[in-house]
Amino acid sequence: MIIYEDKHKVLLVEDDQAQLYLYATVLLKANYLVDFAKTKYEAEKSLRHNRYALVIIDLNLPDGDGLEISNQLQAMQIPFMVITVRSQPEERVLGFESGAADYLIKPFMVSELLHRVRRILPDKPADIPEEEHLPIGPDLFLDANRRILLHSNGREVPLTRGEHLLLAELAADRGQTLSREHLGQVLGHDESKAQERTIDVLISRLRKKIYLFRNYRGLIQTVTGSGYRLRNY
Amino acid sequence: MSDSPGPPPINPSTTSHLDEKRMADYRNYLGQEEINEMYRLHREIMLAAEQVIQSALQSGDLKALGHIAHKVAGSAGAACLPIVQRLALELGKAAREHDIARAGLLATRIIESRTDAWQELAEKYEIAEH
Repeated sequence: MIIYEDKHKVLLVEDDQAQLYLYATVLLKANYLVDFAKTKYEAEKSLRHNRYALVIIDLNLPDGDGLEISNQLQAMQIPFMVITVRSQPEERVLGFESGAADYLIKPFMVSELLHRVRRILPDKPADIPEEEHLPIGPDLFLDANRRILLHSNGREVPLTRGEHLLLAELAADRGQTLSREHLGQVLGHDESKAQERTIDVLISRLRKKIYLFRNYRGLIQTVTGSGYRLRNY
Repeated sequence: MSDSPGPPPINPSTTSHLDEKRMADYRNYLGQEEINEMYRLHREIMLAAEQVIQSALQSGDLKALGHIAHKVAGSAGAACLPIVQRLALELGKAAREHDIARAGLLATRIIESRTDAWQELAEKYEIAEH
């Protein structure tokens, strides 16, 4: 389903609850939709399931440096703004070199935050078909409408309906092992052994297609006795 | 004992513990209830952080001390407490320089300054300490 939104959706990545509340409240009052994440892991998970117009990210997160997801953001062509207490010139340069659209040093006026957000985002959001491009990796996407695997270099590989459904299900629960039975239900199958074999065949075909993208050859992992899972990138 | 100088003195009679300009900016965008909620969260973070600082000082865990000092600096800055923020940045520096004696002094100063700032918040902006 394609959903068109009339508000920009912003992902706020900040582990300090008070700051998160402050920035989220200000952005909501300014008519933005706001999602939040308190860790790098949570941010990566949100990015896999949502399309954002902007990501605002603190650098010092409990599970790593916020800049570590800059490659993923760039591949998805999502602008991001760094907010941090790191104020040294070389630190700002590093932020911009990582692709940041802006770099705001804490503490700052919330009015300044809003001005900078408005400078990055146009007045009216573009219509973004939700789930049109489901991220499979930093530069590989599943185009749900055209049912193709799409690399950021322009290469496209068509998928069958079954292949597409399986890959979308694995991507939605990335890192989690999904049983053949579960995947069979996604395809509308019953629980017979023969249908489980069908899953193995479809996975095998998917792997052959994914093999064309060199960096993703180990994307689908077999978990012996359990099922399949998608590797994290 | 460390030979390094102690934290710079702050004259409480002439120095506000708050960043008044940023407080005014916040009040342009947030209602009183929202400001109260933000400070309630800030207080929880600060009190928990002060315990972590004490534990890190007692165990000599300078890495943990540096990490929590950074967190306190960010939280204090956003809460318009510039003196606490500056002291926390100095605490982080003391941790990096393995100066545990100075770090201890700074930790005490952070609690003192934070206490004064919260009192000022209550008096000027009716932001209760509970």
